[in-house]
Amino acid sequence: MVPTHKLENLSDEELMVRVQDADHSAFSILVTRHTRMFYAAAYRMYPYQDEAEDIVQEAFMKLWNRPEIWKADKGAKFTTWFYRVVTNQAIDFARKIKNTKGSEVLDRITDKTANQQEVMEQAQQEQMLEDAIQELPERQKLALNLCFYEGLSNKEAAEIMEVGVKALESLLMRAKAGLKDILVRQGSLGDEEKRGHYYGS
Amino acid sequence: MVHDLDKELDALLSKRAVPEMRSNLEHRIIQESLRQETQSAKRQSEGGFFAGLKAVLDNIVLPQPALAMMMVLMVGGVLGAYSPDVMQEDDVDSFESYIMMSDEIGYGDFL
Repeated sequence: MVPTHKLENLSDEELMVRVQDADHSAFSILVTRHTRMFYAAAYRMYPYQDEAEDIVQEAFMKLWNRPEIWKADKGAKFTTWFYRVVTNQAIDFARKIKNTKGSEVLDRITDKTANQQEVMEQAQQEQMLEDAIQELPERQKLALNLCFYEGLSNKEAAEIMEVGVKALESLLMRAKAGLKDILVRQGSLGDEEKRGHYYGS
Repeated sequence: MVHDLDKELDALLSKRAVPEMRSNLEHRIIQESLRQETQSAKRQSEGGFFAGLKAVLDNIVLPQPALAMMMVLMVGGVLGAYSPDVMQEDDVDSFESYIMMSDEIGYGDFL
């Protein structure tokens, strides 16, 4: 049995090989190392804290119960591969529940900051942005999340999404254009003059 | 103007925050995996006994007619042994009465 402090020096991929041999310590290190990052990814796909936590937990449980789904010989980075697992889990989850909670989130934010006008306005702007992102088609949203928020390169993001780099760039462009369109219409982006110019009036 | 909007959008996007996890999620996942591991080990040990039993039974391969004949003979034998008629005929009080000849038979009867 390898001591935990030595396991901590192993790469994710080496740890995964050990997880495939039912090494629980290796699994624990992977969980400790990456939970926060994958929680953020899940939250951006499905912006509810409890559900995002459940999504990450389910993804890790899937990994622990069926470690053979990770194919070491394919040469993919563990994080790249696990992003795909988590985002697929989030997409499945979102499809099951469908967007019925939109106003609930806003209520939650405004409740906390009812007496603070400025903070409330900021919270509302954030909520509008969140709603706008959630309005995007799933693949555009995923491209935006991976490239803008997860800090992945276009190549890595394309690998996760199983598309070419050109296709990913096109998804990104369409995502940003779509967002601009929604936010300008909502009035959360651009002053009136710019909005008029944007719509060509 | 459109370029300004791009900048503004990027600035807005960068404000998008992810709230902290509510619970100690890492700990929860590790505990859950340990719990599932224990359950699966338990299932495996139970499955091991039944799987062994099944393997033994599977090894006793009998063709269907032979199995049916064997069952008929076994049931027949058991029913026959316990049927009242058979029991009455075998109703012997003691070993002595079983081996004793009738009192009416004397030595002279053999001569």
